[in-house]
Amino acid sequence: MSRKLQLKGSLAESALEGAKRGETILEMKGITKRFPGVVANDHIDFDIKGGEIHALVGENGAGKTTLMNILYGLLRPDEGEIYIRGKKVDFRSPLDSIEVGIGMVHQHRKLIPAHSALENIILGHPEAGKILNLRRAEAEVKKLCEKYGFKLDLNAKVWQLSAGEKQMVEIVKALYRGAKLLILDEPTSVLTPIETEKLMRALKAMAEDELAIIPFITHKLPIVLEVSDRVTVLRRGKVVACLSTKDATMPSLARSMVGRDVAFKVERVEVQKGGQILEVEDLSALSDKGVPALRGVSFSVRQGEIFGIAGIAGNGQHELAEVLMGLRKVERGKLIFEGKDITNSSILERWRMGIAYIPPERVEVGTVGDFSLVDNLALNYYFEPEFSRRGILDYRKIRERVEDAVSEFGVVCSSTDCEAKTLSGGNLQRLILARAILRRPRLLIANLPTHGLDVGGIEFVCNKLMELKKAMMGIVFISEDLDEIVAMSDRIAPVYEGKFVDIIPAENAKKEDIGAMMAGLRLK
Amino acid sequence: MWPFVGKSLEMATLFMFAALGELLNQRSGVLNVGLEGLMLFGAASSFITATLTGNILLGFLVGMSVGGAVGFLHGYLSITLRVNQVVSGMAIWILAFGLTTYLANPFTGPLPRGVSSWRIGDLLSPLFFVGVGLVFVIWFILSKTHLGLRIRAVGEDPSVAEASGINVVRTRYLCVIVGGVLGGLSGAFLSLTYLGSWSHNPVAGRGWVSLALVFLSMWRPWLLFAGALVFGTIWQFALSPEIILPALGLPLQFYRMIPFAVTIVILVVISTERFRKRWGLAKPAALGLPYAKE
Amino acid sequence: MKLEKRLVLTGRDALKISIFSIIATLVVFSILLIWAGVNPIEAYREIFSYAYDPRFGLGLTIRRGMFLLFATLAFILPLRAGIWNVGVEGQFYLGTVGAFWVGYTLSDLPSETLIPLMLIVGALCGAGFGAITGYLKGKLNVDEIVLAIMLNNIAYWLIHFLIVGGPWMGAAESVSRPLPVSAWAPMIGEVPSTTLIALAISVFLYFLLTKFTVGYQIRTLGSSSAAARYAGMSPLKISLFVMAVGGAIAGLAAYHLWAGDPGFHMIPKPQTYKQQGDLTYYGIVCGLLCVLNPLAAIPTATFISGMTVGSTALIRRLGLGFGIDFTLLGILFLSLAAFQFFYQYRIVRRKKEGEVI
Repeated sequence: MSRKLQLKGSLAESALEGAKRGETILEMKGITKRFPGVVANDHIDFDIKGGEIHALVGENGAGKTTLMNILYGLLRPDEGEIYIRGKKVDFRSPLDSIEVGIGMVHQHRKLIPAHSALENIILGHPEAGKILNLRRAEAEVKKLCEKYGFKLDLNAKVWQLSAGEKQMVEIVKALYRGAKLLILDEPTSVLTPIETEKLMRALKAMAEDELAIIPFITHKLPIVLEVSDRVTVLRRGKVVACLSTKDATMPSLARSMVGRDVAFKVERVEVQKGGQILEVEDLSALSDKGVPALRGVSFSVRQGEIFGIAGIAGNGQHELAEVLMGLRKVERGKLIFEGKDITNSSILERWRMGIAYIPPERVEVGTVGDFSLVDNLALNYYFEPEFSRRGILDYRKIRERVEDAVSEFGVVCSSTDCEAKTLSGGNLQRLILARAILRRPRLLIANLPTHGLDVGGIEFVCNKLMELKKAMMGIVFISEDLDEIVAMSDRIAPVYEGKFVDIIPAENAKKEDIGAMMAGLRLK
Repeated sequence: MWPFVGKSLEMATLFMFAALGELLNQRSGVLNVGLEGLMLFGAASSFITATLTGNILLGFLVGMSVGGAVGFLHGYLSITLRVNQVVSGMAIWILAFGLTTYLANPFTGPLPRGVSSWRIGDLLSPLFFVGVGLVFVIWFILSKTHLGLRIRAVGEDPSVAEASGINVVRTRYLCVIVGGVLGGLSGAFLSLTYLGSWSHNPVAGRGWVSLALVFLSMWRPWLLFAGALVFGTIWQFALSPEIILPALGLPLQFYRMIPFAVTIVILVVISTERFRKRWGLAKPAALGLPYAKE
Repeated sequence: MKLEKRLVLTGRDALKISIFSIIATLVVFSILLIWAGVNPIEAYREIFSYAYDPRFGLGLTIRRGMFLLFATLAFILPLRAGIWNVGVEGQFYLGTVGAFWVGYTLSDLPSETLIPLMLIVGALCGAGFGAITGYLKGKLNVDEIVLAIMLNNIAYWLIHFLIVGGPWMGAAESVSRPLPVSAWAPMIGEVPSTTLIALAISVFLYFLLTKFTVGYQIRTLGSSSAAARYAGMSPLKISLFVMAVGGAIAGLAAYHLWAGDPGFHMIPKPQTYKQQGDLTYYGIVCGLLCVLNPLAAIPTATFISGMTVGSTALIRRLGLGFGIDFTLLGILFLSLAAFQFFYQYRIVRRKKEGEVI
């Protein structure tokens, strides 16, 4: 039920249709937005010209998403103005910005998985008509795809598409709505190197066609340098630099982003490996949708070893982690822990045996938001005889353990009785780590343990894992970050489409090679 | 034999109207477990109107309007106030139970003489065909029109729909009100046509069965139609089993249990491994979840 | 005045909201009363005086209050685990069947043995019936609400079969045989001693949920089933447990009602026993009103019981129609549903610099 936009005179005239290359089509002046406890955007100025690719970079929490949402009409700024081709505008909802010609491609895809690509593309389009003329729409969309080189099966359901294809659907959707200004939120974070190449080419083609593009990026700065004309750096809600890309270098950009040299510092520890603690034979499992996600993976892990699994999201590593912990059923294959076959052991048995799991979903799985820190800690202890005698929880002991966790792992909170939902992501992760590690497990499965943490948090987690390695724990380390994998692992297994492309010792590993293997290329 | 078929089809019509309405609001993401109460409101209001005015058409109209109003009430609680939809639905049921008993009790008994529902050949109410037509209309709207696409999008992921320029709130209100109208129609049909009289709690669990029907039909109108036919026949059989199986001699209570037992069996079957995935994919992902615009 | 998203919901906040919803109910109900030609003040005076007057309704208020307490507790425990037990009616019926079966078949036993047996078997039958829902929910994630309602209807017809022209038929065609006197519940004045059982269960559930490991698992499942799985808990075992215990509590309510109320001591005709079965739905409202706190359920159930008993005074003394008591319950339920809005949001008064509000 799209409402008819009450186009005030000013808005109609400022539509981006007909904007020429080089003409300033968007200006944001003094944009300020406050949330409880934080100033997300602090008097930000930003502008973009027709046919230009102007990248916006900054760390997590620098304010990019807020700024983007304001531009797209999802949020209203507390202060500041937005001008489209010189005319002031006030977006009250995404409808307004869509009407004007702004399109947004979100990081967490705003698509409906159960619907087809075509249905997602035409959803809400004012000219789609009362009765769906799917054939005509399909023809039009096909033409659009060919124009920029997008290869898409329009009738496939979105949940069946790869991350790259999903992104294509979103881009086409924006273009089909007549977007002349595209905002891309972390466009390359889940793409393989090949898909990234394709995207860069498509973006350049669109820019040739006088579209303006704003990619918002945190890592993968090389892409910024390769494809953009200008780059603006945000830090803690403020603009700290705005320069032409030719004048920018990687180190200078990185420094502006963090205010110091971004050097991933981890004290690497070398340890004499112990006996084999985990053996995996031909493991296979299905994804949530019932399609094979893990297709026959075999490896082993020794005491004092960090086994790194490198892969882009969606290639089966998540399913592998869950299978190792028992959260997912094994379709085929065997799991052997310390000589015992645990393929069909329950999750509880695995905790008791000395296996621990750090889930990537901190809020939904790792903790219970409404529970206090004390009750959250009990999640990994309620079944231990020491903490639960004759069916009654020994809260005194649990509290002691929480105190240990807070002091040793630096969890910041006003009291151990405050609810977990009041904690930041970084602190939650410290709690989850503390909880699992203080159990002294012999095998730790860390699934994206540094995801979403700031540099300080990442360093803490990695150094902790090194400590555990020294204590002869076996660690399965899953990450999407190549730097981390190379710095942390003893052996690296790049995973692609549910299989290990290879297993290589870290000494010889080169980042580019691993990146290529993550994209499915085999190197010998 | 033919009266049995006629009654079965009428019973199916009852399920059809109620379940179609519920299907529509569920497709937009709003769960109404108070369907039984909705039908009670429709049944009572239409019966009282018809008895007082002698006009059956007016009775139907009032029943439908009251249903729409109740749908709006549930919508207000679920969409605007964003309270738990199960609580809201159950509250409507309990309120309906008490209020309709209180208001309609004095009218217990058959419709006044001269006021009766028209039947084709004295066997089947034409509303059955209206019901079938409605199945077609709802199917067409949901799968072939942009409105239907928007409704389905709102039921899958309202934030995505909102970002695509759809007014989620308005869409949901539309569906929940139409669902209310159809539920009220079903109740009116029950008291004015099928029963032709009023007694205590006439819906007798059929609203709950209609709710189950929506789940079982995997939100597909034609499957729902088939399910309604099956359940209509089963229920009618449970009421008068001697027509089909004359001499089995089982106690009547056993027959009365059958529709409920069948519902349970089917519910369990579709929850097993084999069917669960298909059913899970068909379910509107946002069903029962309140939506808050950020 | 502004609406602000709430960060923390304290017990006091919940109490305030519950009280406001009760007040709103009384206001709305007053409108209905006025429309029916009755003075609301007089009506409420009637209600309270009848309900709490030892000469009239106090005994019934307490007896029914404990019955509601059983029903409320049977609802509260599963909901703490995230399961809506709307099958209390059916579990109560099965408890009836179990208790009466013992009462009839083993009627020769002395009271000291007979009554505990009736309680136990009644509880077991209720537990078994609840376990059906618990198992199907835990194992296959079947929708527990529709399932339970179906089971309620089946249980209704089961009793119907037993007493209407059936093996337990009594003097009249559609009531059961009376229970032997040895099966009657020992009374403390007008109140059956099963009251103590209800109160004990209330206290026990409170400790179960806060101190026991099982209670911790229940709470975890109710807050986050994903986290519960992660921690190695078994949703199936927990579902079975809460539904079986809930069913058992509902089963106990059966003995309390039929053997504890001097007006019964048998199963009455279908219309009447259905009426009593419908009372179990009040358990849902009570449970929501007392925010699923087993101890708070005691005063809540007693209060609601007073309202229902008192409102029969409206029927009896003021000549209002049959069904008015359920109407009151429905309004209360609806009001509570609406006020749940304030669990998420609260009203704040904002004073800006230089501005006076």
